[in-house]
Amino acid sequence: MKSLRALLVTYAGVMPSMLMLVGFLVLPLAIILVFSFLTPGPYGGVEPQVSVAAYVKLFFQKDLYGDLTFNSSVLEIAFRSVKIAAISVLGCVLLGAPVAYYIAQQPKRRRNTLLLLITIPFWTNLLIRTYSWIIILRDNGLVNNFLISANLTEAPVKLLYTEGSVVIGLVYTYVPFMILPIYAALERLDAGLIEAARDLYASKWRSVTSVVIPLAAPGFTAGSILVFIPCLGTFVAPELLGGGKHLMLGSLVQMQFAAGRNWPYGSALAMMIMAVVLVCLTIFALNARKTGGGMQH
Amino acid sequence: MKKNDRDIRWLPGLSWLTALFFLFLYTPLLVLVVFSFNASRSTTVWSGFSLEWYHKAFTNDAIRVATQNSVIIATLAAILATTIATSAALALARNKRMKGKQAFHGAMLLPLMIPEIVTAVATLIFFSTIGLGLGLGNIILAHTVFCIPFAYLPIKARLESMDENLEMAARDLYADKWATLRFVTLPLVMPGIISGAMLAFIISLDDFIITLMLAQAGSTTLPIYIYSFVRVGITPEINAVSTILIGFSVIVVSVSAFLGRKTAS
Amino acid sequence: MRLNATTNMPLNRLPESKPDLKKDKQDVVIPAIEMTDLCKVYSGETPVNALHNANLEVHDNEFFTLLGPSGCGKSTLLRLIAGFETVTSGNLKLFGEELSALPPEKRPINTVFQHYSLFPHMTVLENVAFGLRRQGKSERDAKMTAKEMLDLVQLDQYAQRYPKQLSGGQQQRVALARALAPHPRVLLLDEPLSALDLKLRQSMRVELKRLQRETSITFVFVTHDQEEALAMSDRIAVLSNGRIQQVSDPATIYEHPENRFVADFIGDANFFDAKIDKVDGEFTRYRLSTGDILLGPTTEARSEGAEVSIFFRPEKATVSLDLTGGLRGRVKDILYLGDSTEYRIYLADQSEISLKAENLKDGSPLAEVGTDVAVSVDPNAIRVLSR
Repeated sequence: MKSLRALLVTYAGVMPSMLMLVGFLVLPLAIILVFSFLTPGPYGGVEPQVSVAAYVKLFFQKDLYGDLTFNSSVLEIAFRSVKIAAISVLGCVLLGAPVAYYIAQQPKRRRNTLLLLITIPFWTNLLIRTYSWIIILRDNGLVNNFLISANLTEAPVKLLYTEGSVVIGLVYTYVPFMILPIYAALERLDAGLIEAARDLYASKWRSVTSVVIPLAAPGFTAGSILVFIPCLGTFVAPELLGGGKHLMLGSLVQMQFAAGRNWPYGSALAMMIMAVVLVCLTIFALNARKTGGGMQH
Repeated sequence: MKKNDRDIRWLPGLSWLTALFFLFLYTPLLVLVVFSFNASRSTTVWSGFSLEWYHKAFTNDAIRVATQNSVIIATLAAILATTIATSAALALARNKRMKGKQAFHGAMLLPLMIPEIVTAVATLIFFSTIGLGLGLGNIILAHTVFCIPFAYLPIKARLESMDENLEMAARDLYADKWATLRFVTLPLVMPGIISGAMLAFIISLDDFIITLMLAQAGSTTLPIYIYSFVRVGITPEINAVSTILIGFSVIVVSVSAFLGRKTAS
Repeated sequence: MRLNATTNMPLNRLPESKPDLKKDKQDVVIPAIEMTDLCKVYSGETPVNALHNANLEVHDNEFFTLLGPSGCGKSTLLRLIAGFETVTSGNLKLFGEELSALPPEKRPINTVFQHYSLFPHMTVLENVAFGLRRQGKSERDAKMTAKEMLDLVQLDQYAQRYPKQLSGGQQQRVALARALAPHPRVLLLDEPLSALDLKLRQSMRVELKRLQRETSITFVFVTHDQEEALAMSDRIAVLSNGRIQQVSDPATIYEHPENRFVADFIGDANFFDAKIDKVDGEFTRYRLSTGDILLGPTTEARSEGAEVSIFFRPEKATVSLDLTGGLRGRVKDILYLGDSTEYRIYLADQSEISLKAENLKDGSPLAEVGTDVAVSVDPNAIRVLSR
């Protein structure tokens, strides 16, 4: 039998981290789960009265007669969030996969330098990175200035404050999350397998589609998850590049705690984001078990 | 690379695409940096070199206070996160009797799995519910938590690449557990610890959403300040502040990467 | 007082002179290491029984080798002695004192690791001084002794370098110096030569043997290389499947293996199933499965008609074109090996045997492929094993 003391000694090392994570992350998450089932207080906060009103409010609204009618506005925002996140993931794959493949082919020194170059923008401030796109995309920004001076257009093209600019901002921000796992998968790929495919009459492209991509699949999945999760809850890009007009879930949640002061409703929205994330992670975990791969860090 | 010297994996267009990608990656930052030295208020039309905006940024009291807050928060959060992450990484890598290591490892990465906005509102509600009002202290606690995985991963990587026989050799040569930790394990893991601490520092320094939710009057950080300014209008002063932050991040991350690489060989 | 130690200090004056236990107890010779019914089971989903009831004595001041194929339990045995693994059951004693409960740092035993495991963040000198410092020696004394040890392995001029600045052979010698510096009662060597190239390996054999003799420390050496084991050891324990098969001096192991595994693992052997045909004093006629009769030594307790297994080593037989005596066969292959030539010969029942003839002159073969030959073996070179 292990004594309590022996147990404490064994687990002493992980205790501080676990206390912090449970105390300041898991517990708060549990609290907002509880709060999402309570009644809003008049000036923020909650009243201790159980209610599912917050969840009802996600899909219905009270009409003039006090009856509940279906309200699609939150669903529309949720749908837009998922759509923009999905397009961003796709953009990251299209842009990131070839780059990852290129880097994997370089000699070691060069590989490390290129990887560092990819991570440096990631470590610079998110706001700054987003802000720099405002400078480029706005009506009198670099792109429009160029288009006008080249006589390609007379009036500035509307680039900023569109869904497109939000996607550009998100791809720009999160593409390193796509490249690194794909690169990790490709780097471990035995070049001999491609030689074998070519030797067995597969063309250059054929060997990519039937050998490289299937073997790098765990990298693609990991990258997609790592990009999708932050995109879904994004706040900065829609606020700054979408001009607050293309509302996404992140902003909606934030509003409930700033101006809206409806904590249960905000909590329910946060739970909705968590639900989507959990679904994604489950798909990923099942997929990883099937392919025998895992998330590479 | 000569044509006949190509890697079997080579594909046409790959290097062009990569070049375009790096252009995409660095043009925005470059534009921002260049116009921080612009003589006029414009952030798009060049009208001569000037350090005016840097001068303005340095003499701006609000920026000074925000910078101070950011540095205090990042320093303390990085130290706390690195300390507890080091202890966890050591325990998970070397404690043979511990069960459920995989679960603990997963728990260490938990902050990465949760969208920041959710973490932010959860932390906000939590602090206001338990009535914890430590000002900067609240922000430091929240930052420590989400910095844990960033500090933990480089330390874990370093421990895993380290030959366990070195610790055996130390024990064999009359070093007890603590002496082995002190004279062999910690010195060898140190580059990972420093690298982790640096990443945690940068992550905390850059954090915006969580800080936005938790910041009260007087605890404005640099990102919050930048955000409030950007919403109002675009000025080269912001470019100047941003350039300094970019430069700082580049230096810290490069040093961290250098340390990680040097010792990996 | 150690200041005047010369660079070529004789090794019997090594620091930390070892108490001579044999003198204290004159009649009873206490073995350096003694294990009784030592077992090691690795727990896990499927427990692995790595060592079964090992009983072994390693004498003081002996070069002892644990020999066996990979996975035979020799490394487990070494790690048990060093204290890196815990004993499942049984006893393990060092000069009469029970070891099993002691952690590695409390055992006066040091290890030379297979891949050296030199501390990469310390200089060569700091590496060698490490054990002495941890034993509580002052920095000055530790460095002094460490320098003497580096002299001993002829690396004194590399003291301030870092391990990765040294060649594999040099790192090997640093590892030796580091393990010898605290003057352990027993030195464990875990396949220390396996990472070196052939020439270096051969010269290190001589070096290790010299070090053992000069330090009079008990060496326990682990290897899978039979040639290494035969060349260096005072005694060898052959292991297989977690069991000790035989413990003897090299000549006995090679000439008189106790069972088929040992006979097969060390050197080459031609085995036959045989029946005792007739015992005739000193010699016995053995009828082989091929029908041939082979004369061999008489072994005790085996009566006529008993089924046995007999074998001889390839170099003990001669091949001749005169077909009047011996085993009849046909040459299948001839392999020229430089110092000798190997003949592979089919016998009547299509079984194959191998012979080796030294190339004393020009190495031209004694027979062509396809010719019929007779193989004769000195009866004293035949070995008989139970089946």
